[in-house]
Formats: sequence, structure tokens, C-alpha cells
Amino acid sequence: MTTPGTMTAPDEAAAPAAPAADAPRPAKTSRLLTKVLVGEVILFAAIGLATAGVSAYTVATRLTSEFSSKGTAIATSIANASDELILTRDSSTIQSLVDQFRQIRGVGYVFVVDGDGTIVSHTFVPEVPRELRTIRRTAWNEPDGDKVQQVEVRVAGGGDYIDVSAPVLAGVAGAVHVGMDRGIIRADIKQTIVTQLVVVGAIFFFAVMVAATVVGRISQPLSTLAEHAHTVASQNLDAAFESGEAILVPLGKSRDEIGELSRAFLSMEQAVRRHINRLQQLAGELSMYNEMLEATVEERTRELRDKNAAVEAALEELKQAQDQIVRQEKMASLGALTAGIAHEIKNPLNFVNNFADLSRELAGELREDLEIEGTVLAPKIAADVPDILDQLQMNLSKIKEHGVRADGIVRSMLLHSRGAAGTKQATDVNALSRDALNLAYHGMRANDSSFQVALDMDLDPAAAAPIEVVPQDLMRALLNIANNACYAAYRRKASGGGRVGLKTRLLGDVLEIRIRDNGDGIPESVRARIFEPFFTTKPAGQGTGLGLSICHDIVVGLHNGKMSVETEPGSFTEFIIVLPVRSSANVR
Amino acid sequence: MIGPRRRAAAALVAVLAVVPLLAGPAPPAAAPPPAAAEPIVLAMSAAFTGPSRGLGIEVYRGARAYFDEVNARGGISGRPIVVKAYDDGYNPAPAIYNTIRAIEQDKAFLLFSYVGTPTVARVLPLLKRYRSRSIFLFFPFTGAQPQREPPYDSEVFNLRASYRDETSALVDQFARIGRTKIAILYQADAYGRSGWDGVRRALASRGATLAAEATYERGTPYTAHLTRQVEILRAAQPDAVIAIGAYAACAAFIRDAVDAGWKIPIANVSFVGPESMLNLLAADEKTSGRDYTSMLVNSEVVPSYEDLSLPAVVEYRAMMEKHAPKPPDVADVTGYTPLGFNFAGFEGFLNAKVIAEALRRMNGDLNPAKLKGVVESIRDLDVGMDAPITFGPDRHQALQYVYFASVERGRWVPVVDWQRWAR
Repeated sequence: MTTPGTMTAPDEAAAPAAPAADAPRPAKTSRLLTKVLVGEVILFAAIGLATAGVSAYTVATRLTSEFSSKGTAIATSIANASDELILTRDSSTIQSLVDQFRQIRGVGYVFVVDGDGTIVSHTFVPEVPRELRTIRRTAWNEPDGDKVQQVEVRVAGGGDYIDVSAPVLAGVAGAVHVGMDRGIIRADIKQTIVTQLVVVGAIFFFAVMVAATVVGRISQPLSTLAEHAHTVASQNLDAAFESGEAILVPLGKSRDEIGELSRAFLSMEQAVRRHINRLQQLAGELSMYNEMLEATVEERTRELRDKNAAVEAALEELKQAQDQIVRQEKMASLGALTAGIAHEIKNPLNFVNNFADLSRELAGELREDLEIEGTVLAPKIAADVPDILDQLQMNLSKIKEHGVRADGIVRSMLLHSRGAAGTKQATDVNALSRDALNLAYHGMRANDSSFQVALDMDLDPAAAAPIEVVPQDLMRALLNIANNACYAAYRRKASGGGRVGLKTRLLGDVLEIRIRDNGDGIPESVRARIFEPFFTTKPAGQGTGLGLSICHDIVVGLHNGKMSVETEPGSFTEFIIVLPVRSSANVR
Repeated sequence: MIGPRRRAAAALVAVLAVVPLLAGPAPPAAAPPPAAAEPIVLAMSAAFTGPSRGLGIEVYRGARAYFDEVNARGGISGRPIVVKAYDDGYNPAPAIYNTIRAIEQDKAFLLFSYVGTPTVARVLPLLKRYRSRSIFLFFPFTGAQPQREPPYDSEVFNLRASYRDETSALVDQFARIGRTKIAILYQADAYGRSGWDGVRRALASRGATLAAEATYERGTPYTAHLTRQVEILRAAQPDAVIAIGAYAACAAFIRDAVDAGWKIPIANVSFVGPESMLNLLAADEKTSGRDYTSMLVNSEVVPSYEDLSLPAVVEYRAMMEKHAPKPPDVADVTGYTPLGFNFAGFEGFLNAKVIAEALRRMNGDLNPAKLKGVVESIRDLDVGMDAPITFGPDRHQALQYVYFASVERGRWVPVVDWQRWAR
């Protein structure tokens, strides 16, 4: 049996039975019977209440009248018997008389008042209630003073009474009061009502039994039908329809309304069955479309994933291109260097070539002289030999001097172009800075023979003490700044007067390097961006915009230093590099 | 009407020694009663069940102690005295029925030592009904007025003093120690009303009225609470309380008064059954540690059974010990321990002694019609107490003495000093 909660297959979920699954289970007792019972309850409640009410009223009236006459009889009889007793006998005699009436049903109390108004006998425990102590009846000379009188008395915490008082000797010898207990009247009324209701209840029970039998015959087939309907609503439809035939066909044979209803139900079931089949078919189609949709979505997702991968690849290429550009920038600066070096080496090499030729000719002359004169040297010739040798010695010293110079330049070039990540070593920053400025200067000169600026060196001797830096990288940074300074100074003062200043200072535990030019300065609008990669103010194709960015990386990133710029448009630009100084002892 | 002084008692002792006791050696002629000897049936209706059963049982036992002795010595003119006990549970209706049965079926010779005012008050008319048979009631254990007044006084002989005597004596004694505002607790029936009437009259003669009054239901057990009654009486701030009741309820009242912190003299009259009351209070004193008894004073109509100077006391004690009379068969003895010597028993004993003397004086002619004349002829009969007993045609009330008892060391003893309760 399939319960509603487990219907997950599309065909079942689409079945019309699903919404009805929440309907309450069919009640065990017949609804019809319930309605009949409710009707009976109302009817009998009305009958019960009405008869009980009438009875209560009758009982109340009767009993009140009964009690009042009973009280009158008792009071009168005590009064008649006690005239002599009050006047002549001990109070216990009257008390004894009075006590005999206490047991009579309905009598709440009895008390006797003498001619002076004193209560001489009573039946109260523990005391005469205040309300009765002061109760007063009319005297013998007042209207009805010699008659039996009745008043209603309510004793606080003691109940309600009908006080019946009878005069003794027409009132002059006192009076007898008898209190008839209204509580007993009420109890009787209650008893009457209860009895009435019990009788009505018994009749009601009998009526219910009859109704149950009669209604049962009508409601039985209806219940079967209803139960079947609920089965259809809440259970597996195919199974329900199968059993439906067995249930409905016999019921349909009946010729009354129930039979008609059963037949109608059967035909309805068949119609529903047809509709359900159609719905199941449609549900199958819907499922197919659903699958197609899923496939399409999956395909689109895959395409998006591919495109995403392509974008990532493009980004990677872009990064590589950027690295390429950085490398090219390095090569460009190396090219400029190489040009400077070539120019610098040319002059010493001229000396070397020229003096080498000259020395060869001198050697030829010396050899001819020696051939002509034989092995013996004429005194005059012999006198020249020392001169020639002096010349040779001088030439050779020149060759040596310029050779050394060329050697130094080449070594500097090699040092700069080695390029690989350097290691920190103790370095004279004064010398490094000076070399950087000289190289820049000569580099510019090599490109443009008209280049001319004045160099001002102001180096703090204290800054010559070696500090731990990566010399290749720091040289590149200083060279870059120096190049910029030379370029700026010369461009502004092409006619002469351009100056580039280098200044070092040891300031406590930092070393400061200042490179200043008197160029155009940096406009305020671009000052904040000068350390950004690819930012440049040079004409397109002349700069990569990487120079200062790399400088910044080297000073700040590699050496933990600081790099800043002071400038005034149209006046000067000064780059300030501050490097931390650590004693070599600390590093090692 | 205070009890006679000791000097009177002392004076009488000499006389008593001479006069042979009535229960003394039997007449030599008296042979053991013949087997066929018809017993003299004395009918006694009393409370042998219920809260007041102690009174009925003890009066019966006291009387039986004497009759057993009489019977052991051969009875009266060879006939044994039989006390036929009827239980009325201290209720009027059974008392009436018992009396009729005694007269009609059991051929009672006389009615003897009925206990209780409400019962006796209702039985009195029966005496008129059976006047032709000369049925008299002897020595009822009640001090109420109806049997002492016309029209019933001619059918009743009273030995003990009346409640009027007792209440009047109590009011006088309280007045003497400055206690004049008297409140009363009484049983809501003829007995209580009788005492109430007596107190009221005694006060009226002094120009006073009752300070306050409260009642309780007859049959109230000791387990009940009478705190409401205590509150009602206490609100009037009286000087003393007189209680007209039975021992269970009176003891409950005393307990509740003391528990409420009310320190006031409380007087009970003879009917209360002082020993039973003391037993109840003493048991509670042990558990609560309170003093329930030092403010108690009881009026009695017989001398204290502790007064061994009285020959009647000595005799009573001896007879009780000798015969150890059992409660009657009709009594409910469940949980009841017969008292030792007690006032009620002593009164029953004295009643028996006087009636036996009257029967003896009939000299074998036990004709009921002659009984009245024989009793009325008794003059100055000495039964061993310090008061002579005299009856006459106009005198059916023999004694008017009232005695007072208070509790000392757990016993009832004669009161010698009233000043202890002075204001």
C-alpha cells in the first residue's frame, strides 16, 4: 500500500488523489447517527430542564408552604403546652419539651422567650445567633400580637430560616419560635431535580439505543461508500478501483438513493480513471522535456567553463609579456651602458694602438741601425740606444696606464651586466654612487656628443664605510636615477648650465643618498604616480615606465630602505634614498 | 448550704460506732436464700455506652458493691437484690422505652439511680402513667428540678442535693473571693438548662446576670474542639466559668481554654464525672506539658471518697475491693478501664445503702404500695457520712449538702482554701 508521503514518482505525484490525502480518516461512528444524537440531546436537555424547572418550582412552593404550616403546628403546640411551664416550672422542663422537636425534619431551631423577652430555652450550639437574639414579634396589644407570625431570617454563616413564632398566653407569657430550615427545602429541590434528570437520562439512553438501531440500517451502506471514497482519496488508486467494483456493484443493485449514489460513484470512478491515464501520459512527456532542458544547461555550463580557462590563459600570457617588457628594459639599459663602455675603451685603445705602432717603428729603426753598423755599434749610434730605450719605456708605461683604465671600465660593465640576483656584501656606497653617476654621464655622452652637464660630488667620508647592500641592484637603481637626472638637467639647460648633484650623508643609523638635478621638476599632477609600473612622461617609445618602479622595489623591497622625491616644477628634482646602516659585525 | 464542717463529722463518729451498720452482721435468722427466692428487681436505665458511659458504669458498680454484700449475707428477707441495667446512651427516647420494658416485662420493683437529666425529665410522665402500680424513681443521678417539683416530686425520691444547690453554692463561693462575673458553658439540653437556670437564679438573688453563655451538643467527645465556646465566653471577660456538662466535653473545653492561654477558674458540677475528666486532662498534661487542672474546682453532692474519717468511705472502699463489681453486660466496655474509687461510684454506693435500708424496713412485705410510706418514715438515718438522712411526705429531697473538690497531685481532694483562686 502506498501512503501519500511516499509518492515521489512523477506519475503518482500528478495523480488527482494527492490533494485529498490530507482528508481525515472516516469516523467510526456514523455522522448521521451523531446528528440524530445531537438532536436527541437537545430535545431531551430541553425536556429535562423544563420538567426539572417546573418540578423545582412546584417543590419549592409546596415545601415552603408545607414547612410554614409544619412550623406553625410545632410552635403552636409548644406554646400551648408551655404556658404553665414557663410560669411555674424550671427552664429545664421547657428545654426538655423543646428538645423533642429538634429531631423533626425541617426544624432548624426552637427557642422560647419568656414574658420579659429572655430566651429561657433554645437549641443553639454554641450560642444564639445575633440575628435571633434581637428578633421581635408584635406584642399582645399590637395588631396580630396574639397570632402566629412568620418572618424570613438569614443567620450569618448559619443559613436561611422561616421563623414561625407562636404567642404563649396571647403573648404576655412569651413566645415560641421555630426556625424551619430553608436549606432542607433547597436540598429537597436539588434532590427532585436530580431524580428528574436521572429519569429523563434513562429515557434518553433508551431513545439513543432505538435511534442507533434505526440509523444504523441507513448509515451502514453510506459508511461503506464513504470509507471506499476515502480509500480512493488516500491510497493507491489502481488497487482502490479494483476493490471499488466489488464494493459498489452490489450497493448499486439497491433501488433507493444509496443505490443511485453508488452507481454514480462507480461511473465517476471510471471517468477519473480515464483522466488519470491521460495525465500520466502527459507527465511522461513533461519528464522527457525536462531531461532535454537539463542536457542543454549542462552544455552551456561546459562552454562557460572553457571560456573561463581561455581568459585565464590570456591573463597568464599578459603576465609573461609584462616580464618580457621588464627584461627588454634591462637590455635597453645594458645597451646604453655598452655604448658608453665602447666609447670609453676606444680612447685608451687608440693610445695602445698608436704607441704600439710607434714602438714597432722604433724597434725597426733600432734593428737597421744594428744591421748597418754590424754588431759593433758606432759610438754615435750606441749613444742613441739609451734614448730609444727611454722612449720605449715611456710608451710602455702609457700603454699600461690606459690598459688599466680599460680594464676598470670593462670590469664595471661586467659587474653591471651580470644581472643575476646578487647577494648582499659590504660595499662602499660612496664609490658605488660615484661610479653610477659617472657611468650615466658617459652613457649620455656616448649617445650625444653635445651632451654637457656639470657634476657636483659632495660625498661624506663617513659614508664610505662599507654597509651591507646588493651592489649590482643598488648600482642599477642609482644609475637609473642618475640617467633621469642627467636627461632632465641637460634637456632644460641644453645651452649649458645643467647640473647634477650627488650627495651622501651618514645620519646616525641611516645612510642618505641625494641625487639632484636642476631640470623642469615633476608636475604635481603626476608626482603621486611616479613609482607606479609603466608610468612615464617620456615621449612614446623612449621609456618603458619601469625605471623608477624597479628602483623603488630595490630600495624599499630589497634593502628595507626608503625612497622619496622632493621637487619644484621649473626648479629642481631631488630623489632621496635612505638605507639602513648595520654594522658588519651584526650581519655576520 | 455548704457541706458540714469536719467538727460535725467528728461528733458523729462516736454515734456511728455504736449504731450497727446496716450492712453489718446479718440477722442470725436469715438463712441462705432459697433457690426459688424471687429477686427484687431494681431497674436502672443509664448511659452505659457513648461518651457519658463512665457515669452509668461507675454508679452501677458502686451500687453493685453494696448489693453484692447484701446478697452475700442473704439478701433482703431472703430475696436477693438484682439491679437490672438498661442502656439509654444518655438519650431520652431509649430511656422511656427502657422504663416501660422494666415495668411491663421485667416486673421491676422500683426504678433506681437513673443517670442524666434529659433522660429522667422525659421518664417522669411515665411515673404518672404507672401511678396505680406504685412505681417510684429512687435517687436519680441528676440534680435537675423537674423531679423535685410538682407534679413529679411525689413519684421521685432524691438523695443528692440539686443543681440549684450546687450552682448556688458555687456562685456564693466565687462571690466570696471577688469573682462575681460568672459565665456559663452548658449542654444544650434539659441538664444544661437546669444548671443554667440554677446559676441564673443564684446570680439574680445577688442582683447580677450571666456575663456570657455558650452551649455544646450532648455527646460531644473529647477529641472535639470547643475553641468557639472559649472565644464566646472569653469575650465577656468573666471572673469565673461554671460548666454544666459531661466530662468529655467539659474536659475538652478546659483543654481549649488553657491552650488559648485563658487562666480562669472553671467549676463543674457533680454530674461531670470528675475522675474521668481528670484522666483525660492528665493524659494531655503529660504530652503537652501544660497545667490543665490547677484552676479546676468541682462541686460534689457526696463527701470525698478520700475522707477516710467517714465510715461510709471506709465501707465503700472495702466493698469495692471485696466485690470488684464489673460493668453490666449491656455496657460497652471497649477501651474502658473501670475507675478506682470515684464520686459517682460512691454516690451509687450510698444510694444502694439507703434503698437497701428502706427495703429492709418493709420487713419482708414487699408490697410496692407500701414502699412510699416506708421511705417517707425514714428519719435521721445515718449511713456513715456526716449527714443524717430524713424523708417525709413533704420531703422527697434528703440532702442539700454541697462539697468542693480540686485537683492536687493528680487526685481529687476536698477544697480547703478558696483564696488560691481569689482575684
